[in-house]
Amino acid sequence: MIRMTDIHEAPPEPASIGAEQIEYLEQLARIRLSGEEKERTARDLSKILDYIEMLGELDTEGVDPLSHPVTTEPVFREDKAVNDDRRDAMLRNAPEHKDGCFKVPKTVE
Amino acid sequence: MANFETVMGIEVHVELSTKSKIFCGCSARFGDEANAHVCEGCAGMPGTLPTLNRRVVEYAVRAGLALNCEISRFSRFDRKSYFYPDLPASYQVTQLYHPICKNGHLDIVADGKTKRIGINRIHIEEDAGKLVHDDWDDCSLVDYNRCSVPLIEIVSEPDFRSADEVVAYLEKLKATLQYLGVSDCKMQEGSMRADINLSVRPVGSEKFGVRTEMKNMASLKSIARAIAGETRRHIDAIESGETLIQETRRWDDNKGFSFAMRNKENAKDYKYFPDPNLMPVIVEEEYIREIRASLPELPEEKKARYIREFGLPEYDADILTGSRYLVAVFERAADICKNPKEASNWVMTELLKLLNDAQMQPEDMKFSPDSLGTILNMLTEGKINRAVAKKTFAEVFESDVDPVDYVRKNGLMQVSDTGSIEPVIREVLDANRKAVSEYLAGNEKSIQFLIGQSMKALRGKGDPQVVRDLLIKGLDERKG
Amino acid sequence: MSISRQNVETARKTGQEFRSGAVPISEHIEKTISGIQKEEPRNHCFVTLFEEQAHKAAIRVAQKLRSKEDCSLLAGVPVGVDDTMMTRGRRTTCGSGTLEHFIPTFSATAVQKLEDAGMIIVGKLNTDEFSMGSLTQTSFFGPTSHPADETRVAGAAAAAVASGVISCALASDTGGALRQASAGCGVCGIRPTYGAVSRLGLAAFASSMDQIGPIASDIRDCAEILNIISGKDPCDSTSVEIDKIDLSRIDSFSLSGLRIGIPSVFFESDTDPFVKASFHEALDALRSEGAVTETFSLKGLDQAVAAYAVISCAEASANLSRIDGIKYGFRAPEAKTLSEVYERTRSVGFGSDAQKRIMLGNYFLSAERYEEYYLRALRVKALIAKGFASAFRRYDVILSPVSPSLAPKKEPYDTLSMFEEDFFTVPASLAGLPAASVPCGKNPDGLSVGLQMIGPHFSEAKIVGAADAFLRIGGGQKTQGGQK
Repeated sequence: MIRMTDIHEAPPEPASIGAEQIEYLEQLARIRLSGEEKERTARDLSKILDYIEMLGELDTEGVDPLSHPVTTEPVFREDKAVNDDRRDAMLRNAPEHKDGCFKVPKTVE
Repeated sequence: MANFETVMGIEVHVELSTKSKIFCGCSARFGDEANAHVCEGCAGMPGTLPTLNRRVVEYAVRAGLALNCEISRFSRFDRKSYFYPDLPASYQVTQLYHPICKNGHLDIVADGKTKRIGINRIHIEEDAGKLVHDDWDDCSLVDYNRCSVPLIEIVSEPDFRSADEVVAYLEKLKATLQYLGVSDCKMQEGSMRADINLSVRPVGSEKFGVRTEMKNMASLKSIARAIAGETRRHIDAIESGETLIQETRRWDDNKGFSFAMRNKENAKDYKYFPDPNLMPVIVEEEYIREIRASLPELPEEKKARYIREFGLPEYDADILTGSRYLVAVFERAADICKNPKEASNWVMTELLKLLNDAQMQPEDMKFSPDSLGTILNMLTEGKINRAVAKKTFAEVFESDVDPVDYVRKNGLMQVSDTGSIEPVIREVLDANRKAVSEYLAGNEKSIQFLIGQSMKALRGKGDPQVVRDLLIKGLDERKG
Repeated sequence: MSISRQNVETARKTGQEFRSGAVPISEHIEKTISGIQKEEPRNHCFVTLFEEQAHKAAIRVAQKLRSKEDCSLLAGVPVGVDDTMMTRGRRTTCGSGTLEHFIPTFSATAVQKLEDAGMIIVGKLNTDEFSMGSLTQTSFFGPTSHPADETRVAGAAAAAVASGVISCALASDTGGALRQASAGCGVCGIRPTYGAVSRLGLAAFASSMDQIGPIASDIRDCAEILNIISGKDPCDSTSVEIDKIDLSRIDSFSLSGLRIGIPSVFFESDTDPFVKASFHEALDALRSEGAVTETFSLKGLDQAVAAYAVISCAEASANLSRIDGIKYGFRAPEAKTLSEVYERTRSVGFGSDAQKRIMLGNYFLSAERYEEYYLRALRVKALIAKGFASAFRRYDVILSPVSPSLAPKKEPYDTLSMFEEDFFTVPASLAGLPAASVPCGKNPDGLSVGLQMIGPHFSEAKIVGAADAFLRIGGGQKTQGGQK
């Protein structure tokens, strides 16, 4: 499911990370910080964002964003199923598995 | 309800029928043991990289051309990030910013009217894995076989106003994609899935109501029920002043109600950005021309031709062309027996009945495409009679027997030589004096009974015409 | 303190001795491993040693050499590999607690190519967690000690080469790690053109900039290894073919008339005085050989670190989302629900620097910030790439110091200052350009300074030629303020 409205929602606020934003970032990143870590991280991230503000000093009007610095020929794979059944090897590093599947705590969609 | 209007748009996910997955060499086959088709790439191991399956682009372009889309010369893949166990890399590769096809349409017929449904875009993406819930062990088990199977997502404009329109669109879409050979579109197996975006507004209002998205409908009937159920829920909420939330909901067909999805589909932010591991897909004009030239005859053209060339009734032509699998049986049979009308009649009556009795979809048919034509030839040549033909076809449908073998092994060849039939006729006439007298007394209907008795004695194999002729001859002789 | 670099033979010489039969491979491997083991308590260069596998490989390669099978010039030579590269059946940690016990099922293409060439991987080198850093400060296994000063940090591949326990290694370079490490320890390293070496099997940090390259005490060894590992890989859609470097022609490379450009901001930056002096002396030396130097301005260089920070954090945040405790690696044992599996695994598993970068990346990619940060960073990147392209119409190579400072102390670091250390190295990373780091000075305490030589795409041969010529005139051997 994709909607163009997903791209822009609220207008950007000034770049500084407060308690509320740290929590939002924790949620997005799936990382939970302790109270003390939260403060330190907010401070560090704000410092980095302050530094990054300088991106705005450069006039980039009309410049196309560049993703790939080196252009290459398109690469395709032919439609062939070449892989063997390697289930056991794929499960060997799993923290938990059962009945040939990766095992996770019960979850509902 | 009369005061409200339902506005719907549909997102259809279609699994492409490629042999391998979109970014790795694992098989894309459905129905095998859990995690049998998984490698480092589709299990999201560190250090793995995607390489695009050429056929995926080809199939997406085929679908786009058949659905009257503009094909983007430049398209690109983006990552859509969210955490869920069915997504091993924790992002799905999709096309948000530059989809491969845009601005198409599909004409449908619903409530006797033709309507043009706008197609906003078609983009390529990868499928996710599957979770099975294990109640004994209070855990969930993850299977990555479907992970990275190629999909196209076909996003319509919000042009639908009734469930009938939605069903007509999905049927037409399914037929078209099956014709193209890009997908088998089996809703029960999940290779075609429709999500319905639905909102309700007072009739005459220009503004859209709050939209919800519904997932998890496994059949067209379930979709129709879901639309009715969700529309009711929206109207109830509007009328009782409750606030509707824009969210993704899961339709529970047994309970007849939708429930908000808790985890996966209501992530706050998908953090889309272009996937640095994949180069843009550049499609040349020449390539588009080649694909366009290779497109098969699509349902509408075919239907017109059936009416024009074969003189089929419009209704029959419409049903036949509704599925490429019916078309395949019909065209092969017509080709073999050189009698399209007869072939059409058999598909329309016998085959549809068999499918209906077996609760099967045309795509589930398993018999050899030559069989019906062979049966019809045996029928025209007088080798079997109509009753045997039907019986044989049922057997072909059921277990894909070779019709000629089947008829021979079971001794079902039609008996039409008078030498074999005459003694039987004599016995029948001798044994059924009452019917004979009635016939001779002028009740010509009695001959039907005598034909039945004779066919029975011939174990169904008698040539009905010969039997009738010989009976009349024998009866005439008894007139004395 | 001892740097016995001068005593180490080049990898090519060692390979020659194996081929001639003068030295048995097994014996050399055994000596190498015991040498590593002896130095390891002090140096802390290796995360895992492949003692048993290396011995088996030595026997196999010796057999191949005896039967005159087609082998590279470096067959039998021991090599260390950065622990962000997958080694099949052998532990690969990526310097992270999340993968402390991870055993990959395939080898990185570059690793595979080394082994196909008969080189023997003796172990995995310490690395910053998922390459996030340059000098092993963020490694789960603790930092590597600088060969000249135990109280300072160093990149492990370079430190192992500088301390003489191995002659060459593979390292990864995203914002400059390979170059920074080489410069800090006074050895040579090449970050090739983006895509020249397949990234398959390199744990991704920032995919649009990650590259694998060689580190060796000898620039020609670097070239030889690059010849082995480079090449288009059908499994890496971004990979490219580069020409092999012809070492037989390297002696004839002349510095005379070489056009050298130096971006003027590189002179204005806040750089350690010793680094500055070494850089100027290097330029003097080059000019005295007939090279022509010129300063020029390149739009966007001031913003390069900011753009790099945005792009690398954004990509890393997505790349490291797969570390979730479900398919492999660490899972927090106390996690009871799915949310706890994610959150506890990632909170306990990742180090704090990785966590900060991941959170920043999420910030940059969040729907409402995407345009302000990510797209703008890609525009700055475009300007920088364009600036380089036009500069290379006028210059053969572009020079700069590698790092603005000398090897840092083993002290708490902060993420921002780590970014700022990459001031000279990120521009080439953003533009996908090849860049070498060669030694150009050493202070009385034995701390080294590197000279960076950046060339246009696919110009590896020219960079190696220039670097080799520079080293031949003694550019890299000087020790300012002290004895030779």
